[in-house]
Amino acid sequence: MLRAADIARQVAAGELAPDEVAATYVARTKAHAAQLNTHLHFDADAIKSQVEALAKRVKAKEALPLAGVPVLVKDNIATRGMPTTCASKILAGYVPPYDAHVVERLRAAGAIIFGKTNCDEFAMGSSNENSAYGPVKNPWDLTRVPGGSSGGSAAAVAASLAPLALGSDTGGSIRQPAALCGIFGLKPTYGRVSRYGLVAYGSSLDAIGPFARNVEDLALLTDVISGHDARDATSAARPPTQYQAGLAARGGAKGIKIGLVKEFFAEGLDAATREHVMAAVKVLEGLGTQVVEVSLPSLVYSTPAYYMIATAEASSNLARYDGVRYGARVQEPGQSLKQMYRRTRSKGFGREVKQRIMLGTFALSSGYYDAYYAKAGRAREVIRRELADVFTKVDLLVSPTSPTTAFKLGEKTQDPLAMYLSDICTLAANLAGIPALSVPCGFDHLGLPIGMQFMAREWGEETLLKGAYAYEQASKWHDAQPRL
Amino acid sequence: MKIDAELVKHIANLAHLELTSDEVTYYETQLSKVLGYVAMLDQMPTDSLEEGWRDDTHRAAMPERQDAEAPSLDPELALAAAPQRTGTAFQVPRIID
Repeated sequence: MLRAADIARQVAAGELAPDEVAATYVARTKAHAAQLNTHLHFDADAIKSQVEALAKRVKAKEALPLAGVPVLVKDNIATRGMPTTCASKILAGYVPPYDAHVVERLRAAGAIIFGKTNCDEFAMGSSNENSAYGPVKNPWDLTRVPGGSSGGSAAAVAASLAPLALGSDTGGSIRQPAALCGIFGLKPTYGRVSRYGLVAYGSSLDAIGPFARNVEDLALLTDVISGHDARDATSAARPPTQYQAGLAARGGAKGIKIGLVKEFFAEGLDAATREHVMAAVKVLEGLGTQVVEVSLPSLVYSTPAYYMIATAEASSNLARYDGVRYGARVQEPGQSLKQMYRRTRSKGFGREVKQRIMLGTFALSSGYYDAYYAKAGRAREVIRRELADVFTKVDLLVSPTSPTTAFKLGEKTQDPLAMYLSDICTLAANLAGIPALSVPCGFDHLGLPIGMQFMAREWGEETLLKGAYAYEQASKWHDAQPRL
Repeated sequence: MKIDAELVKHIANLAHLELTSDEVTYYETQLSKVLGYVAMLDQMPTDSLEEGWRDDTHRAAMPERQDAEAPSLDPELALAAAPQRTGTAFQVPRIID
């Protein structure tokens, strides 16, 4: 399959017809999307209209960095005229009247919006099993989870149903599925990419980011979606990034100081994951990086801090689903407004979403606020400072992305702690607002992909991509394709 | 932290959720497990934070939004997804008799 960057170059140069590209991916989608359950919305006619409009822009010689490139969008990102349900019954059939900022950018760049991808309901989950529309299957083993919450986007890119996809990452929801599906996934610095049009989960943590099968494509999509947008009050006053151009010329990984996070190589880590991440670190050392072990003792508190802060914010953000302005309404004759709210929310939200709303409501409620929510806020600040301090000594932190490879469907659904702990390596980056990336670095004895996580200081995406690019050139893991 | 049925019902009420009795039992177990784990935060030393610390001062100042006129969303579009509407308004069950 062609890379996104090559498709864009060839389509823009008139060497490749955009309808040919679309036809290839439509055929692949029709062949595999149902089996993987990756798509919540796919409309071949709408794709055809987009391709026809694009062909005119190509003829007019518009500058189109994603000319004709199929891009999938997670179903919690608003797309004008296309359903956006967050994989929830409460938003069944909802069609937004506007595009998210990132979707505007995709359209302006000449991308073809190829459909909406399945995810955990309202992005709450680590396995994609919380979707109201059924779980996504991992393309490497259909009996296993793809990770979550952006499981549809990750599985679809791994299966080459599109070369690129967007996901959202509140606690690891891009990086963990990228790792479990054997592809690259980036969570940018908080403020790098506008969240205008992203359905809010934990607003102080949420980030939109790209999935790709190689680092150049990942950089390309980051360049397209980044930059200031006044409609997101947390969007930083920074111009769009320019990472793709000159990625190869930037001198590799030589001189990068790497910190190995001791706490993430502790008990509970799969032997194969440890082995492959350590082997990858050796490769990085061979490329001229310096590797030291670092200790970040506060990171063990990431999970409890995250699950209080994220759920508290969710309980507030999801208060808007009340059956008044959009989505489903459940109402019986003679019911009061309050009864209508309750009935609608109780029927509309799934089990995990109700659980998180209640956890957050508890953390914010009178009598518990200080011990839970306020304490979690303090913990978060200590974690942020500890990370800021370590980044005065090293440039990149390296760890596994996930302590295990893809687990079996149903394996962790009954135990909330087992599921929440699968995010242990990814949460700190969201709490601290720093960028982080997952890089494919091997396969276990069952043939399941393993991911290595890089974290960098705030606004340090370039270091992440430089390190990932150098490793990619020195390894072949990302070339492997699942057999479907 | 032991969460009992009364507390689950109290939280559900605050969150505008109504739970079946099976759900109350289910969430008693689930919330007890999660909050039991979260209790480890008690052990975390956070005294290093100075008096009056804030969690936003490390962030660069965001630019002020231009105070410029822009068209609003067309009312028809805004109402297009409403479960019930009347004229150009969202309709809800009667609040005042």
